[in-house]
Amino acid sequence: MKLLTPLGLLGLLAIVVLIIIYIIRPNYQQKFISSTFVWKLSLKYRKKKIPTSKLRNFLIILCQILILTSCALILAQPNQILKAEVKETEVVLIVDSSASMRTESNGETRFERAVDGAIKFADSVFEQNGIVSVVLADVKASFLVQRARVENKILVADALEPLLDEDMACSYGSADIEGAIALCEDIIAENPDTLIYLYTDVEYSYVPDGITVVDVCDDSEWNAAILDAQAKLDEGYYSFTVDVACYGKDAQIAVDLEVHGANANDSEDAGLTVTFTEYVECVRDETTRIVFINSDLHQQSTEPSNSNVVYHLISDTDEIFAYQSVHITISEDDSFQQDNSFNIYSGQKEVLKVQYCSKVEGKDTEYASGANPFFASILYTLEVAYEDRWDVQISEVKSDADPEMEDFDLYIFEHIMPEKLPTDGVVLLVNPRTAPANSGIRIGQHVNLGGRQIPMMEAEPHSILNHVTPEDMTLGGYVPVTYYDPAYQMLLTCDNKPTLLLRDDEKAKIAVMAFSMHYSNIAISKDFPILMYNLFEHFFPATVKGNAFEVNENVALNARGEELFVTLGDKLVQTFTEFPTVLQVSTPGTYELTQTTFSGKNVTESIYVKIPAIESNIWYKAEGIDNPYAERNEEDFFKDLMVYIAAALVALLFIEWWLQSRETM
Amino acid sequence: MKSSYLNDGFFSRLETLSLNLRSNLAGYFGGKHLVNTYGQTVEFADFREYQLGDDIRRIDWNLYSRFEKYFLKLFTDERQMQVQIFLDCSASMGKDNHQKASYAIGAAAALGFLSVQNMDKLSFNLMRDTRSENPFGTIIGKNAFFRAISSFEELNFTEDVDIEACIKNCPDTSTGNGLTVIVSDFFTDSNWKKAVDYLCYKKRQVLLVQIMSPEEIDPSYDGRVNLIDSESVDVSDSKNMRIKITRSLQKAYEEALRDFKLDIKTFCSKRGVDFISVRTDQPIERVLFSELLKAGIME
Repeated sequence: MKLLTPLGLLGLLAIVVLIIIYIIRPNYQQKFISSTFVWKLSLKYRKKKIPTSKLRNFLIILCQILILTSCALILAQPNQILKAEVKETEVVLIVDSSASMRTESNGETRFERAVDGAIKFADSVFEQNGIVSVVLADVKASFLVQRARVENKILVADALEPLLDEDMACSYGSADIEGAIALCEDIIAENPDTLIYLYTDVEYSYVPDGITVVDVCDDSEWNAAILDAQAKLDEGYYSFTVDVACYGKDAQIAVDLEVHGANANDSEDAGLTVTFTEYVECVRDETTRIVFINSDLHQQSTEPSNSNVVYHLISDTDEIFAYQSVHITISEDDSFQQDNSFNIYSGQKEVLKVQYCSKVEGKDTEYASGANPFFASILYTLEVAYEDRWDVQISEVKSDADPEMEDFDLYIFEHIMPEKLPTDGVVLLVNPRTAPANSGIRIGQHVNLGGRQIPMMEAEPHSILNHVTPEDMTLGGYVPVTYYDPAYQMLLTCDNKPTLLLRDDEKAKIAVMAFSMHYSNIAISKDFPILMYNLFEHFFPATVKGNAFEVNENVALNARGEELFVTLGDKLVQTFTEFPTVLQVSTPGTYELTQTTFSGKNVTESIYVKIPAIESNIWYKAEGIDNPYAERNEEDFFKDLMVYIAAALVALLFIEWWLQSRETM
Repeated sequence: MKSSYLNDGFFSRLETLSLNLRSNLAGYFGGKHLVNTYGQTVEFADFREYQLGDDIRRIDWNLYSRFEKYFLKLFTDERQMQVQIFLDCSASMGKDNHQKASYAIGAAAALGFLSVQNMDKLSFNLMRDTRSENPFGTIIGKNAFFRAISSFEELNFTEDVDIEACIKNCPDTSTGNGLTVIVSDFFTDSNWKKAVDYLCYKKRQVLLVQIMSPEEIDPSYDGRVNLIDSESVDVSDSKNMRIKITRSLQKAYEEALRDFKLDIKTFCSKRGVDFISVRTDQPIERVLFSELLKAGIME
């Protein structure tokens, strides 16, 4: 048992007071009565009992002493120690494994200094028969060694020494210091006197008691860093924005921007390589933005001038309207090299060829005649919407020409259908008068609803119907699909007949809109552009959104083919077959995403993964560390006995009252 | 000490009552109590055959005409009794409890009044220590009675009383001629029973009136107490008690008091002695109109 407030035992002095009261209290009170004659008679009548009065008096005094003792104990907060008290010195060594720990000076990185220091400190603890735990604060903190005693000290050496040799020991991302502290709570739960030593390069403004931050920085270390870079297409020409900073000292740094494949006409054209160099003064750890911009655009710019923004004007002869990649470098011999380069990709957009064929037979009055302007306008709207991702090339088939049956990504046939559908792209059939041979559907005669407008109904949820309200789209007539292949999904119906069918498998990608836009309000409905946008997103999803990511970021991937290969340099990182999927990148560099689309095209896209910008600040100052001791649950160590003593106190009070009541009987 | 009972109102309420003494007492000539002996009153009692020496004027000639025998017509006799009232003047009767003293004086005075009203001779004997004082002598008539009781107001209750000695030493305990009343709490170590036996031997009708205060019947104190007896000389007197009054002792007290009263009752019933026990919180009229009527002392 442990007393949390030993001073409460001063309450035992009340026992002395009790004894004094017993000593000085008057024993007998005088009572004048007429005669004691009957009282003397009554003495003979008193039952001969066991002389318990003395015993009772003794028990009453004992009870009163115990009551006072109980009160004193309650004041002293007695607790039962549930876990064996650890007498030995116990430490947890947290090694920061963030990217900034790769900062190198005098031929040694901060990480190596941290590991070396942890090894030496662990040895000193073992010399005192202490207990050592080691936590590596990587992307996700984990125990390398948990509560190793001196007899197992080899475990600590085995866990820490390889970190000095392995290149991958220190991560390229941020460290999970919070997670490491949370792991320490488990150790503290076992031993509340555990000391925590954090080997890090971060300076904390608040460090809780019990945690010692071991600084592994060297004053000579500095870092010139490219924090971020972006390419922006404005009025047909690219401008490039590069954020740079210098931490640890003020310096003038040279930023080189190399544009590869500049202004290439097509994918087969290698284009030019253009290099721009800008010198900037980086002071006070502040971020400086360098904008490589066309001189004309700069003159038109309305952005307010800023001392931290430097413009590098690109002459007319060097204007960039297309590029394959941009390589940005800083040629400085700083302490942290991992952020001295940056790549920008996606300067060349992939061509998406769309053929729109809307033909009618003039004699046939049942069908609307002429090209559908609503449809065409939607296509051009999508072309603009996707200009950052695709180079959408729309080909309208003239009335006297035959539609192409290959080499397009999307074929749209309206009214008059080809005899056989193309197989190298996505096919959208609108108001099919006949069913193509390999379409897997059969078509009946057009049904006119006689002026009635019947709303469409959703038959099956699908991503194509996201944000689409089928009930708002009404039909006055439709083409009855009398049969469709089981591979089709029926998405919309009208009058219990299918009006939107979708087939999406390795053999064919076909969408069938079994109605004419002239017999529908769809052309003036907001749902139609949404439906077409969803159709594009479904059949032509972006492989990746964005081209620059940070280490340990989850990159959402999709594909238009069956497989997607992710490579870093020459090394295959991962192969994906299920989409959409997520790629977690742990190493900086250029990743190539390679796929073969449904139409058979080999497409390769590149993304650049960089060190987190916060890691470039090698003199980073953080606010504070969570206090792991605050989370300590006292109930894990002590069981509060106050309830039991209070119960005993109540029992003693009851016994004392009972004895007192018996005393007058 | 001034008794709250001795006033005109109290005595006027007693005028409708009278003492009912036994008829086998002898008494003196000239009273109002009917006795078993035949006398010269007008109240017929019996017939008896004529014997030589009888007064021939008392022969009932009507009976002679019917039976041709001589019969005398007998009449009851009325006698004057002597009523002796012994009042316990010990400290336990009123040194510290004036209500008890007043009550005792009131009861004695009431019985005395009834006796003088019946033309009886009355004497108040104040028992002190081992002697009984008769400061008023024989009282006959109401004038003498009221003169006597006026001095009761200065009566003091002190010391201890030996009832046996007081009664035996009383010079005026004539035989078979009246009622003896002992007013006391009988909380005494003296053998008062011998005194009663002595009175019975003297063929006197005896009435014991026990006066007790409520505190004596149901003591309300408990705990550790030093009981100081009013008859004790000093604190170290053996009559004083140092006891711890518990509930069991209180029960023992009740039991002892009950047995004490039962013992008096049994003793009295065996000897044809009347006994009443009253408590001072009861109205004195109730004692006279209820308890004494119930006992047959009063009619």
